[in-house]
Amino acid sequence: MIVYKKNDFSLEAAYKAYADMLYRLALSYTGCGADAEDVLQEAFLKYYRFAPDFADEEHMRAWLIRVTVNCCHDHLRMLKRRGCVPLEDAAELAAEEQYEVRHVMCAVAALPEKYRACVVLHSLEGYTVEETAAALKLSVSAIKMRLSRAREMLRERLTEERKNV
Amino acid sequence: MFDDKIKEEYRSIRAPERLRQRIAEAAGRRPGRKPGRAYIGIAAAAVIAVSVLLTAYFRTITVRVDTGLTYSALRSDTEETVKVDISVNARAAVSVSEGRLRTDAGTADAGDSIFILGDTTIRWDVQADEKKVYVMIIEGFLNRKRIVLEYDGNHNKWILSE
Repeated sequence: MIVYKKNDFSLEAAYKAYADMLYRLALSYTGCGADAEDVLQEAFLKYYRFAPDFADEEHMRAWLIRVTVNCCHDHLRMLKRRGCVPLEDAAELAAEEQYEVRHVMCAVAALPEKYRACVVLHSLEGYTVEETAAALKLSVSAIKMRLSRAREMLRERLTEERKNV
Repeated sequence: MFDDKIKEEYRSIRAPERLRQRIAEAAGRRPGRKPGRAYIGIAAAAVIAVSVLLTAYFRTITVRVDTGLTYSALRSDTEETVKVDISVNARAAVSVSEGRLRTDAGTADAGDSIFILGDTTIRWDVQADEKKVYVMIIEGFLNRKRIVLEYDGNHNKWILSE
């Protein structure tokens, strides 16, 4: 009998390492906890069934991020086809006392789709511009441009909200 | 763009615990196929089948598991140990939905896998919850087998079925 220990890239290991980050990413797209769960389930099932051999953990992380973003796009398209409007309850997932992060999440969810992943990965999750570019398969300059535009939009929205409080 | 407090609060948002179970259960099921993709799937499968036929012949695992009423021993008030004899003709990964697998060469918790080849005796520790159904997946390169473990109240024994 030959027994091999499991490698580090099993479904369980991938879930433990990245589920929280990917859930927050999906939440920023869908704006709804239930939709984010659907997206994450789809992404992890794709990982389970179709994941290629990864060169290293960074490769796996980038693959999972891209698959999650693609699943988010598919999910939003499906909602549009069915005439559904995503519930914007993202802020409710932050604790009652977390006023600031609630505002931030609403503002991020209101950004145009192509800016959301950049903001989430770089500005909230703390990835470098290079890591974000690699994960989204975009150039570094494209990421910088998107971050700059997103920053402007977020500043406007958050400033507006603070005025209204 | 955001201060450290916001980042910290943001990162405190976690995926709900139920999601792990939901994904594990979905992974244990056969993947569904959307009706619109059926023809594409059939055509692709036909092409792939020809090209991998010879490989498949050698790589498909044949699994033999002794099912039916099975030996079990109460480990404690809350845990049951079930003995599972598996025979595979090619390398296969074994994982379970819940509990712990023990073999001569090591252990694996739910969600982890152990890889086996040949005749293997596995001890499967599960919670002694008679209402639960536990699932074991034996997965080879090209095929997989699903074994279900549940309590048979009529015989007061645990049973394995395919």
